[in-house]
Amino acid sequence: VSVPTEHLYVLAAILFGTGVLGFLIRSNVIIVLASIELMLNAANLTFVGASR
Amino acid sequence: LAEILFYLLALGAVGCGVGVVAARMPLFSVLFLLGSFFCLSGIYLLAGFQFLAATQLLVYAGAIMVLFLFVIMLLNLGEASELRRHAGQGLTRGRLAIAGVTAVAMVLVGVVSAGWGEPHAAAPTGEVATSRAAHGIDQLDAIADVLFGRYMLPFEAASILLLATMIAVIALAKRQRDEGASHEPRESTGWPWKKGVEQ
Repeated sequence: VSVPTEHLYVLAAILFGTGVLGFLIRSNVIIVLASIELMLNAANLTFVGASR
Repeated sequence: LAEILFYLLALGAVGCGVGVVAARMPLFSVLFLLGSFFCLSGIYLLAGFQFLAATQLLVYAGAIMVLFLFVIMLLNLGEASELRRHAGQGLTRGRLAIAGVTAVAMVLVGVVSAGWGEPHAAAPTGEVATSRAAHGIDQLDAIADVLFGRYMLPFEAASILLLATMIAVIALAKRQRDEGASHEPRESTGWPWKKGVEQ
């Protein structure tokens, strides 16, 4: 797949920003944990992009 | 075609991520998170990481999602408000600014480092991805080689650490339950309207 790696990084950054936003503005603990999982997945995506 | 699929999956992942944050009920939030995991797994598969895609599906969509759903359904969190943080509710401008600055800074760092590191080093040629995709089993062999060869000791240490954590959690939960059971009758006599009756 000839998708540029920068686009992977951009996707990971958007996902991480969404996770940070959810972590900051939501008060429910379950949703906060889900936001943390979202951030962890963004980090995984960054590793994938760096490994290509 | 694969690029279109990638952008569709990326759009789905971002949309599900927004859904995670914007959902009113925790159950919907967790289901949106599940959709985001599936989209990311598809992206890993497109990028040529079959083992990572399978692990993503097994571990996240299988284990962690089941954990979340068990917690939600066992605690009946539909409208319960016990598990709420007291500090800071609502969308203030400062929090939005923090999230936006984080995202923009990460995009800038990624693009700048990819652009300045080495010219054309960041843009992978198609051959690498396809050759990696063609030798998916070799990739798995390499992971197993490293995991059970060179990093055997840290791997086993991590498993022992997880076992110790599990035993510790069971012990803590059991002690808490015992204390709660022993305290419960005392607390029930401590109601203000029962005090007058007893005395």
